[in-house]
Amino acid sequence: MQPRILPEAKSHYGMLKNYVNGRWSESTSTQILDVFNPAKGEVIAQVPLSTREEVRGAVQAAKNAFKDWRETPPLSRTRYLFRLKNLMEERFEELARILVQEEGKTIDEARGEIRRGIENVEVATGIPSLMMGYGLEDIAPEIDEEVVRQPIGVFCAVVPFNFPSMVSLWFMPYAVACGNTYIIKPSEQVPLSQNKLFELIDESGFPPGVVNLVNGAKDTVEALLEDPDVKGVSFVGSTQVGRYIYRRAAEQGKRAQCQCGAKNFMVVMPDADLDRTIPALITSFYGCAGERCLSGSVLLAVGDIYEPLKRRFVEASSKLKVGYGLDETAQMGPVISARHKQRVLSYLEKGVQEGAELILDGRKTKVEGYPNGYFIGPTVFDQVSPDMTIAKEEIFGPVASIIRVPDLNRAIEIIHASPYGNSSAIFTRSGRAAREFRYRVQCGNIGINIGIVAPMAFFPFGGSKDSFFGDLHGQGRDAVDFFTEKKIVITRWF
Amino acid sequence: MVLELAELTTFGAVLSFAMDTESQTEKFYEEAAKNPSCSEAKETLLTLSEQARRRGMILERTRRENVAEMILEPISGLNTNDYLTHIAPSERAGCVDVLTLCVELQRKTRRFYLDSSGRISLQEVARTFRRLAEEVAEGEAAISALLDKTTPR
Repeated sequence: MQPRILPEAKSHYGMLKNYVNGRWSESTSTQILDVFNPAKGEVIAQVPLSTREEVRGAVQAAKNAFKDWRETPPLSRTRYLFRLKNLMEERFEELARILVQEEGKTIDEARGEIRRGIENVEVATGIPSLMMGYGLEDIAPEIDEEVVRQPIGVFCAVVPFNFPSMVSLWFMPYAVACGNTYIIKPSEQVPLSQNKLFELIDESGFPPGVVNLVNGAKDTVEALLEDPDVKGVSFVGSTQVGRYIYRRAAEQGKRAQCQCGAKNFMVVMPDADLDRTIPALITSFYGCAGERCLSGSVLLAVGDIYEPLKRRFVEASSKLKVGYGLDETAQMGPVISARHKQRVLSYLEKGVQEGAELILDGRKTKVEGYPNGYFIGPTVFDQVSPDMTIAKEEIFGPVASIIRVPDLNRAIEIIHASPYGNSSAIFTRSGRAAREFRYRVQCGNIGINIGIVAPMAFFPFGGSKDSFFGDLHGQGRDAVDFFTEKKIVITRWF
Repeated sequence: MVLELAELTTFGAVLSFAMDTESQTEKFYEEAAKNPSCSEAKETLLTLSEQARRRGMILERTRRENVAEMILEPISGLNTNDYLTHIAPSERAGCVDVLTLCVELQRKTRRFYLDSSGRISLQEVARTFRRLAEEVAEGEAAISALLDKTTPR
């Protein structure tokens, strides 16, 4: 039987524009990149790499808008977000389909991403409560003290390819609800979702300059980092770039929060409920084609669970249907680009060379009707040792490495040997083992019988070690702290 | 057009199948209400058509609001062949034939909602499916009652 393919929003999106000071503007840049549909290998848009002058123009617009915007009452500011939320609900399906087209994830994953973005907008509408300060009377005779939170100025976000719609919304709604103004630099590989989001921002009627979009790549980020009027930057991407941005921001006295790379370990204890564990692991390792910073990468099988776990995990992995994300029967899409596919494949070569046993080989996966797509099937390595490259480095693809360990202590040792600290999970029925894992493991996001440890909008998105540079995370109350200055006022009246 | 899928293995496929089924049901009842031999059942058929339209909207909202990518796990054991009703009555079909088809349609739809509610790990979605199954069962009872009245004894 023929699967139904959902229609694409458009077949080609043309040359993308910037959105500055409440207007769409063409870039004068001569540097243009193609945007690809990774399932088809076809060009679906062109994106300009904006000039430094254009970046400067966006910063100036945001700076000019700041005074009026910060004086706008918080409740009035959030009404723009309510309008944005409603528009996102109305165009939900279109947003999801554009996302599939440019990133390759499945339609369900795309819908899930749009939903999470909307949830951040929803949480940010609570700013009138979240942003409140606090105070105390009579800290000394007839003297009162209070803390007020104030917006700071122009902030920007540099966002990654793997969640083109959601990640900017970890930051922007909170920033503008707090009274700051904002600039988003989308990933040059996947600029379409932000382009669409800005159509909705425009329709929401935000005052000119409050939210701005500048397309570009490395030079655009450099221009934002160098600009003295940019007060802070939120970044999500690789550890290498995140470390650089954090250092550069610190040199300039800017606030920075950099959420970076990961190598996530899934520990399966001998008492785990495999009927429930296997589906959770499948989602973890292969969801978004393994291109999540929360994706499982190494499967640590503790003791006797090793054989049944391996057998059932490989069986379930081999059944996954790989395909174009707009085919509703597809359970996993392609990776983002031809280049990234080669990178993932080079890790597979490395794994074989270093002696791991390739027990499920996704290299030969072909998807009927999509001969030029960047597909890699679910891949499983067995007999992996912790010193192998595939056990240490972030692959960012649908690849699982199984390591057999004797006990939980050894599993935690292996987790701690990794420079990353984004996410780890344990699957067990033992409260004691779960408690020990939660207590000891040095990771920002811990899962207990959860494969994708994705914090909801009202919690911070954790991360530690080389997976995060900064102290205040995206989302929730951390976001409010990041986007506001605490001012202390001590008062005595004569 | 109803999804031509054998097995529904994803959240989106299950919800799309449900939405397509309701859309088909809505149109079927609307057409059946125009059948001159069903004049006594017209009001009930139009009500059921409206209910199917509303269920379609509830399903669309459910898909939009309740997708939780954290637990988007593969789904198994739902095959469209178990729930499809071939509803193409001839224009000359009598009311008994039409209402018999209606009962089958409601019965299969109800079963689909109940089976699906047990296979989707998202609680809110399962709850919606159970609620829709109740409504479909009420419709089934209404048509069965009409059928009893219409069937010559």
